[in-house]
Amino acid sequence: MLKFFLKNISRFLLTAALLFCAWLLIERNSHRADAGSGPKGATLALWLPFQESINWLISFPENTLNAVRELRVLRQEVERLQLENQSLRLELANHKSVETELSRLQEVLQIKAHLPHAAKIARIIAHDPSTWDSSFIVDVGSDDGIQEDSPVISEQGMVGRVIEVTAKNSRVLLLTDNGSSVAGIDDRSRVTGIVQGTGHNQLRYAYVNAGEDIQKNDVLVSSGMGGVFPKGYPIGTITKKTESENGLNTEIEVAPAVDFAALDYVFILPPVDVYQ
Amino acid sequence: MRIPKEMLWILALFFIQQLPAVAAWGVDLPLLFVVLVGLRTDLPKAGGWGFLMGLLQDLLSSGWIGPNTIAKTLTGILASLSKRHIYRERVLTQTFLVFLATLFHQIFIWVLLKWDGTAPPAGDALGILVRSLMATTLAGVVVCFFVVRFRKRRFDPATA
Repeated sequence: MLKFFLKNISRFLLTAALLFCAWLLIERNSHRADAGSGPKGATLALWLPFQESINWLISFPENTLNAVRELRVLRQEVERLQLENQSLRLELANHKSVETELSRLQEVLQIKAHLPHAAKIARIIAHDPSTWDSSFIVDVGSDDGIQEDSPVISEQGMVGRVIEVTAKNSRVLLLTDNGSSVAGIDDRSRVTGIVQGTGHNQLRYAYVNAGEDIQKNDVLVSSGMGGVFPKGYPIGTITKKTESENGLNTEIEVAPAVDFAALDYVFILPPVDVYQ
Repeated sequence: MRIPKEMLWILALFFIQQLPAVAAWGVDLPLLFVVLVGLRTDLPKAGGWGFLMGLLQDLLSSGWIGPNTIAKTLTGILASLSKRHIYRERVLTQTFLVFLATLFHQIFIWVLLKWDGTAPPAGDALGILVRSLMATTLAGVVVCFFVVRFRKRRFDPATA
């Protein structure tokens, strides 16, 4: 056998060289050709599903474990993102609230610039708990220079007057309190009268002679008489005028200019005799 | 330091009572509290709660000290006396008592103010009374619903 091989070695080497060249040609050609075509493609088409199945079978437990692990991580991530989302929403709401407060304070400061020099800005901290009285407490007191009978206004109009002062707080009696009254004047017809509180969110224009020129939607402003309230601040708008049959009595209802439930800041002016 | 739960109740109640929305609607939460407590306690305690709540209300308000104190003490006593006649496990009967108690309370205050000379005219007084009566009774429906539904039995001496 060896003798035969050695005797024909050149033939064997030639055959091997030819086979090698053929392989080189096939290999080179295969790179140019489409991988999915020809015998190689056919072989791959037959082999790959099998290979993939084996791979899938081998990797299935690992993939399953990884999926479970990833699911847990994903769930944690979702929870974290939800929390972050909530926190960001809260922060956004807070920013909006701060923005509103800021614009409100800017408004307040702009109004303060037009008021007498000693006007104080006061924040309302509590309303009257009794159903028969209408007042609120503000966060400034005698330490801030607040005195009794100081008029209190808002950007909408007249609010009331200070009736009690402590070092840090003051109580403001609202115009709507049934013990409250302020001298008013009809801004259109200049008819004077007294605006009285009724105990609820309504005012009454009293001591007006029957037949006077008072019309619905007339605006009442403070007349400055009486020495407590300064002149020219809006008090309210006339909503109803009823005259008695004999024409002697006139009942005039007034809607306050100020929305007392929506107030958060007010301005306390010095008592009238201080700056007039 | 342990804060008694009654103290927390009072603080919460007066905090809510002094909010602008509650004050503007004329709801009398201390009165509601006195009526519901009166319905569940004996006469001296009910009167005591009424006195305390009324006194606090008078101290915190701009009016003179007395009307709320006296009216709420009496209301508490009457609520306690009525507990034998009111079935307190029903929202409707409790609300009816709240309505009657508010009516009594407001009329009594008006009489006291009239006696003192500081009462508003009858028309205004009627406006205040009706507003408070409606608001407190409506608030009473909500509160009584929760009291009946979610009340813990151990706080109720009658069913403990």
